[in-house]
Order: sequence, then structure tokens, then C-alpha cells
Amino acid sequence: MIHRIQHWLKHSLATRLTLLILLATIIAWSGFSAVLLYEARKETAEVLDDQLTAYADLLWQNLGGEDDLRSNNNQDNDYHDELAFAVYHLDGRLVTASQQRPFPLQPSASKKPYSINLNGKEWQITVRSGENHQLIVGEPLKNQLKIAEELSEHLLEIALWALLLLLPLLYLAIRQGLKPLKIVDAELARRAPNNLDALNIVVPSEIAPLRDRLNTLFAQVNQTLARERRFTADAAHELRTPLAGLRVQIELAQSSPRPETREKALGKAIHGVDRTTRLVTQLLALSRLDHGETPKFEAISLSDLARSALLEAHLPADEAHLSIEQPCALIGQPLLLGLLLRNLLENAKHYAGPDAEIVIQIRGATLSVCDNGPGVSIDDLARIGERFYRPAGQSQPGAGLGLSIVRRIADLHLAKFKISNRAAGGFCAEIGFRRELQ
Amino acid sequence: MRILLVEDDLLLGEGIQDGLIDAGFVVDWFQDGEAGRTALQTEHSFDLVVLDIAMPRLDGLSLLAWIRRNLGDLPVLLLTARDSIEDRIKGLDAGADDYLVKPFALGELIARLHALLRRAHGRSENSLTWHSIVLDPVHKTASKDGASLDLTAMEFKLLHLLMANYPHYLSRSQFDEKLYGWQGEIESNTLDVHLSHLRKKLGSEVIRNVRNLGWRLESN
Repeated sequence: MIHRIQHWLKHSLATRLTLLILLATIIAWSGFSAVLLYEARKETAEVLDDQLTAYADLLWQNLGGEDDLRSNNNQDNDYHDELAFAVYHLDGRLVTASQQRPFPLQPSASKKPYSINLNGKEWQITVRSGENHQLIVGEPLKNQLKIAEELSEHLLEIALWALLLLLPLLYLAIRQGLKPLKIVDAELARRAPNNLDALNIVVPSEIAPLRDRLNTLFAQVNQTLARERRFTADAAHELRTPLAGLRVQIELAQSSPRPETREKALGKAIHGVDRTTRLVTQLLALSRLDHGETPKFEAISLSDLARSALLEAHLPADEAHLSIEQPCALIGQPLLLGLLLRNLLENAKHYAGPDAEIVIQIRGATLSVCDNGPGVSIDDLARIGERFYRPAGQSQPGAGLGLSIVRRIADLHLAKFKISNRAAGGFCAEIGFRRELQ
Repeated sequence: MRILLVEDDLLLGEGIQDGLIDAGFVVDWFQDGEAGRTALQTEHSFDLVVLDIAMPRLDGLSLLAWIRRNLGDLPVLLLTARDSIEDRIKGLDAGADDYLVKPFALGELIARLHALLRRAHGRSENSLTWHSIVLDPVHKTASKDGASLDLTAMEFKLLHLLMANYPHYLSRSQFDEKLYGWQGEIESNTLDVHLSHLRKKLGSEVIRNVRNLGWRLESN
């Protein structure tokens, strides 16, 4: 039940606000009414006490003979219709009384009105005492209560009517107040799906953060889309060149007048297919890395991964190729790290020359793949990690994506990726994993 | 006809080179813009440049701009992976004579090269005519007085060069450059052998040799 009300309250902001404001109004009104009633009752009591005192004084001054007293009539008054009195001799004899059961003789001579219980009925009385007589004037306490009751009835009635009037007014006012939200909504609804420009509407300060967040989100989505488009365009262009090469080689294989050219072209065409396949595979890997879900990390052993990567690359996993110092347990995605190692090893094999020594080093949480080949020129070192960048005069197959893949995988592992030339000659790629991931 | 090919992709570059050689061109192939520029600075016998746009060190458009500044209207055909209209306009605005988007058919590249050469020599037809001799470089046929001439590939190239350069003389070194490029090995008497064979087929009076000037076609 509560759940349903909560759901309903969440459903509409206008309803929610109306109900909450109404609730607040009722609470405030009740509190205010309670104070009002209390004050009213106190005031009424004072007024009635004053009147009682005045009557008593009047009676006391005009207290004549006993006959006179007996003939005294009650005055006609809305709230004093049950005004009663009793006159005693101080020795306790009743002189006269307005009621059959008169007030008893009072011990105190205080003029201040106070209440007594007479035959189960509360009376407010005041006493005047002289040398011989005592006069007691009283009226039922319920008169006071009756006034308070009527007052509260009136208040309640007014409150109910006010609430009835307030409800639609509140609803209208809140709808009006929420209009800026509708403007934002209309603006968003009007938008073409591919329109990611910033929302340029003036909104109240409460909604401005929402608009700004939306704009930030738009900008981010825009950037992602632009990157995606650029990547697709680059990828398409990168594919055009090997396809052109393939086509030319196949044409030659088909129709070159020289037999040796035909034969060579066939071999080249197969080589070209392999290269294009590799490019497509790398593009897919990169695309998955860029847009796939966050990989699930698990406990990994860099040493084991390095060993299997070396074997896969047809390199011996002996001490000359794999040097391990203080390996530490890390968390990572083994398939991705395998891909990372494969790319680094392939790069080293391709670019360091056929006789180069390739070494994987593991020092704590740092993994490095180094070779003793010619290294990379300073200019190329700065650009070599860019997608599709290939140094000039490159005779090895490749599309310049390997290091981009490595960098991306390192990023996913929050690891630091660094490439450098070794002082002793050769190229070195280093990945520093974060120990916090342990 | 000697062509400078500047293309960084090995598969494509080698394929184009082989295809153009098959089509009877002499091709020098370089794999980056800087090397291409050096070649153009040291050799002046190139009839045409085939240029890839995206290249390391010196990109195709920069090299094209350099060619236009230093070598005037040497015909240039651009190869590119970018196929948008803007890219084509950019290429043509930079001074390219033609534009080919990868991938392309070898036949189309060759046809366009012939068209460029024809235009460079101010002709409106592909075939060259000198008196009664007609030579069609596209179909590699030649005829004299309406009768087809049976020429070897080298003889055909020689005749093509002589007809295309008429009325200028061609020196021995010019022949060597245009016929072999940098890759070819030259034997000193090869040219004389081929020329004498060609003379026999055309009639000895057609090709005239002047000492220190070289060879040219001669009308009596």
C-alpha cells in the first residue's frame, strides 16, 4: 500500500508537490488553530470571569433585604442563562438561592473566580463576603467550553472550505511553476535524433544543472560519435590501399604477358589477403576494445601469460627470453593481456630484424617487451602509437594499429604505457600495472 | 615513356610497377615523397608522375605543390584512398592532372596515363602519326602505309619515343633514361642493335643519326 502511494507520488511531480504542500498547509493550519483555540478559550474565560465578577459586585452592592433577594430574577443572556447565586449568613444559614440545590458556603473570601463541582456539574463561582452575609455567584463552566466549541467548529468549517478552494489553485499554480520543465521536454522532443548540439534555452536555476548535465552528455556523445566516424573513415581508407594492391596483383596474375610476373603476382596476392585479414582482425579488436563492455577482471599471473605468449610466438620461454623478478599477483583480463603481449611480440619480431633478441621482463607489477634491433627514430617515437601511423620505408606488413591496441588494453587496466629506445639500442615497450588493482 | 611512381604501399607499388612495365612504360618506383622529390631533382626525363597522396615523410599533395613550383606542368596523376568530392577537388586544385581512387583497375590507370601523355603532347587522339607511319601506344600497334609493322617491344618503344619527340633529337643518354629507368642495366651497344633492326623494318632513310645530337625521324 505504502509502496503504491510512493509509486504514485513519484509518478507526477505536480501531484507530489500539491499533496506535499497540502499536507504542510494542513499541519500548519492545525497548529495555528490549536493555538487560536487555546487563546480564544483563555480570553473567553477571562471575559466571562470579568462578567461574573461584575455581576457579583452588582449583586453585592444591591444586596437588600431578604425579600428583595428572593425576588431577584436571572438576567437574560446567551451565555449567562444559567447564572446562579446563593446568599448565606456567615453562620451558615442559607438566606436565599436561585437554585434548588444551592452552592455550599465557601470557606474562602477570595474575589477571584474559581471552579467547584456541584452535583456533578462544574461551576465557575465568585464569592463576596461581608460582616453578615456571603454571596456566591456562579455560572456553569460549560458555557466557556461551548464558546470554544463553536469557535472551533467555525474554524474547521472555514478550513475545509479553504482547503477545497486551495486544492485546485495549488494544482494550477504548481503546473504553472513547472512550466520550464515542459519547455525543456518540448525542446528535447523536437530534436532530431542526430542533433547533439547544446540545449540553448533559458531555464530557472533549479533546472539549469539538469540542462548543463544534458549539454555535457550531448558533448560527450558527440565526441564519441565523431571519434567513431573518424575511426570508420580511417579504417575504410586503410582497407582501400591493400584492396587496390590486391586488385592490381590479381589483374597481373591474370593477364601479365610475362610468366614470372604472373607467378610473383599470385604470391603477392595471397600475401595481400593475409595482410588485409590481419588489418581487419586488428580493426575488429580495436573496435571491440573501444566500445565493448568493461572487461571482467580476474587474478592473473603475468609470468604465465608471458610464457604462453612466447610459446605462441615460437620463441623459447627460457631465462634468456623471460626474466622475472618479484612477480606480484595482479588483477586483469587474461585474453586482453594475451592480445597485448602478442602485439608487442609481433612488433618486435617484425621490426627488430630476424636476428634480434626479444626479452620479456617482469619486475613487480611492471611488464616490458624489449628488443635489441635498430629502435625507432625520435620523430617516429612520438607518433608511432597513433592509429594507422607507420614509419616511412616500412617493408613489414601492418597497418599501424598494434601499439594502439596495446595502449587501449593498458588503459583498460589503468596501466601506464611507455615506449622508448634503449640506451644499448633497441626498442622497449613498458606497461606499469597499478598495484591497487591487486 | 618514363614514369615516376611514388607509392608507399609495397603490394600496390610493385603491382603498379609490373603492370606499367607490361604496358610498355619505363617505371621508377619510390616509397616515400622525399625520395620521389630527390629523383625528380636529379632526373629530368620523366614524362609523367603517379603519386599517392598519403605517404610518409613528404605527402603527395606537398610533393605535387613542389612539382608545380619547380617543374612546371609535368603531368601528375594522384592515387588516393579518399573518395569524397572535397578530397577530389583538393587534389585537382593542388594541380593534379588526373585523380584515381583506390582500388582501381590497372587498365583504367594505364588508359588514363595514355590520355595524360597525349594531352601533354597536345594531341587529341591516342595514336601518333608521322607521315605514313601510325603508332597506337594503347594497343601497341604500328603500321606504315596501312600495312601493319611487326615490331618487338623494344623496337616499338624506340619508335614511340622518336615519334613523340619529333622534331627533336634524342641523345643516347636520353634514350637510356627513357628506356631503362634506374633499375635497368644498360649495355652500350643494345640501343644500336635495336635501332638498326627498326631501321630495317621502316626503311633506313627514316631514322637519321647526327653526331653529338642523337637520333630523330627524317623526312626527305
